[in-house]
Parts: sequence; C-alpha cells; structure tokens
Amino acid sequence: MIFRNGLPMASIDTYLHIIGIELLAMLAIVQALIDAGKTKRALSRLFLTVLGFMLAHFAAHILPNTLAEFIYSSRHEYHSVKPFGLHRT
Amino acid sequence: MTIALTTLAGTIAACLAVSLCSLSSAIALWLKTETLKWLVPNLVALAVGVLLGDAFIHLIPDAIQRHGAVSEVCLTVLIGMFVFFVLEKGVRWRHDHNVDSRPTADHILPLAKMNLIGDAMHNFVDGILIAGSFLADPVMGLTTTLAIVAHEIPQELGDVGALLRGGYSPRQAVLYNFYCSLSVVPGAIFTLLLSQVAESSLIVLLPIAAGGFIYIAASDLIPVLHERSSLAHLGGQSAAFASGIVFMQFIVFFEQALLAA
Repeated sequence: MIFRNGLPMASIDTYLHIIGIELLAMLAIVQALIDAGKTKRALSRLFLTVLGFMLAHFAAHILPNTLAEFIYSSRHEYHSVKPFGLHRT
Repeated sequence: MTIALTTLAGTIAACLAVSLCSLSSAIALWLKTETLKWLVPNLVALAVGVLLGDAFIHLIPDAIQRHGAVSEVCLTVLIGMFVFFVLEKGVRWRHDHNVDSRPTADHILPLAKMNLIGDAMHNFVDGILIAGSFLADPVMGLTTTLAIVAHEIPQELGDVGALLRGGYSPRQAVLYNFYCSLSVVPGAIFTLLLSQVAESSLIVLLPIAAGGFIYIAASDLIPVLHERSSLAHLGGQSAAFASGIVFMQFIVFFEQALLAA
C-alpha cells in the first residue's frame, strides 16, 4: 500500500471498486423507489451490467492475485521471489 | 493539462458517495404517516438551521477567504437572493397564480421547487470543491469529501422535509432529492476539464448559493414554521433549528481538525 502524509492512498483498482459498489447501491435503491416498468427495466439492465463488470474484474484480477499470494506465501522457499507491492507478476 | 487516472477515479468515487448520502433520506419511507406528520415541521426547522448555518458559517466565510473583499462577496450574496426571488416569481407565474400555502394532490408549492433548484446548485458547487481539492492533493480531496458528506446528511433530511411539506409524496421527495444531488458529478467534471475557470467561478458561485439558501430559508421555510404556534411546536422547532446551526458549527471544527491532521 502506498502512504502519503501518513494516510493510506488508494490505487485505481480500489477507486473503481468503490465506484462499482456505489453505483450498485444507488441503482438498487432507485429501482426500489421507481414504479414505471420501462425505467425499472433499464435500471435493472444497468445494475446487471455493473455487477457483470465487477464479477469479471474479480475473476480476472482479484482471484488470481489472491491465489498467487496464497501460493507464494505458503512455502518459505518462495518468499525470496515474491516482490512487494502491486504488479507482482 | 493531463489529469492522473487516480485523480479522476477518486473524484468520481467521492462525488458518487455524496450523491449516495442523499438516499439516506429514504428512511422517511419506512415511517408511519402520524410519525411523518409530527416529523416534517421539525425537519423543516432543521432545514432552516442547516441552510442558514451552511450559508453564514461555511459558504460566505469561504468566499471571503477566496476573494478577500467582504463588500463584493456581500453584494454577490444579495445578487444570489435577487436571482432566487426572480426564479421563484418565474416558478409561480409559470405553474400557479395563487399564494395558497397548502399543497394539494396536483399542486406542488413553489417552496419545494425552489428547494430543488437551490439543492442542485449547492451540489454543483460541492462537485467543484471536491474535484478542486482532489486536483490539489488526494489527501485534501478525502478530507473535503468527508466534510461535505458530514454536512450533506442533515441537509438532505431537512430538504426531504421541505419537499414533503411542498406537496411531494415521500417516494417522489426522496427520488427528486437524489436526482438533484447528482449535479455534484457535472460540477466535478466541469472542474476537471476547466480547472482554472472552475476555481475562479467559485468566487461567484459560493455567495450565489449562499444567497439562495438564505432566501429559501427566510422566505419559503420560516413562514411554514409559523403556521403552527403551540408550545410543543415552539419547543420542537426551536430545538431542531438550533440543532441545524450547532451541527454546522461542529462541521467547521471537524474540518479544521481534519486539515490540521
């Protein structure tokens, strides 16, 4: 993690996750408040698209990174090849 | 000028967090009609305190700090009040020609429409402040966002109270309030694209927003509070009014503590 003035600074990935979660929360609440069918359908499609992007990002980046971190941390011999920070491939 | 992708993403995330805060007023939907009836005048009183507190404790001092000339800022505040007066005249002329202060099923009071216009403008200014601080420094962006979120929650509750009093249904009030809060995103994008123009536009936008808030609180909301004059209403509304001002003063201390950290 990068620190600045003693505070942890977020990476672009973290910001995109926050944006995704905020969009999902907004769309879910607005969908619950709207009655009209056409708008509701458009909002649910948008909700599914955002959710799809987030799941794809989870499957393509976060899951492999977590697995790799687990594997490299599991054996003492691998410790020397594990670099610090992001982009460890 | 090139903008770092993290600055752009951080600004958008912060703006969406502020917009999401406006949906906190959705708790009004789960309240019973009797509770809502009792709560709305107190929320209107809270809105008066928060709007006046925001104008006199935050916006005007901030504008003076940026501009330096007190008399010019005060003149711009007056221009803001005048602009909102003309806007309200326009709203009344366009949509209704009576001055009845009771909403009906198909008649929304001008105070609700004025509140929406004022809120949209305030959120646009918030967007400029968030993006401006993220451009300067991500840590400052974070502290500015926290300060804006902290004053946004009571303000949105008060705004929904004013919209309910203006004749909107609870569901409409929450939704319209949310749509207005989305103006924070165009404000931020405007700043990211034209940071120099946006920074100097704050000198005008901050006092105009303050003038709008003073006008809405004094001419639209306070007369509504005088409709009920029992001792219980006097106590409840005075407490809510004072809470709004005290809360805004606490936000100033919070901002100072954050900036000092």
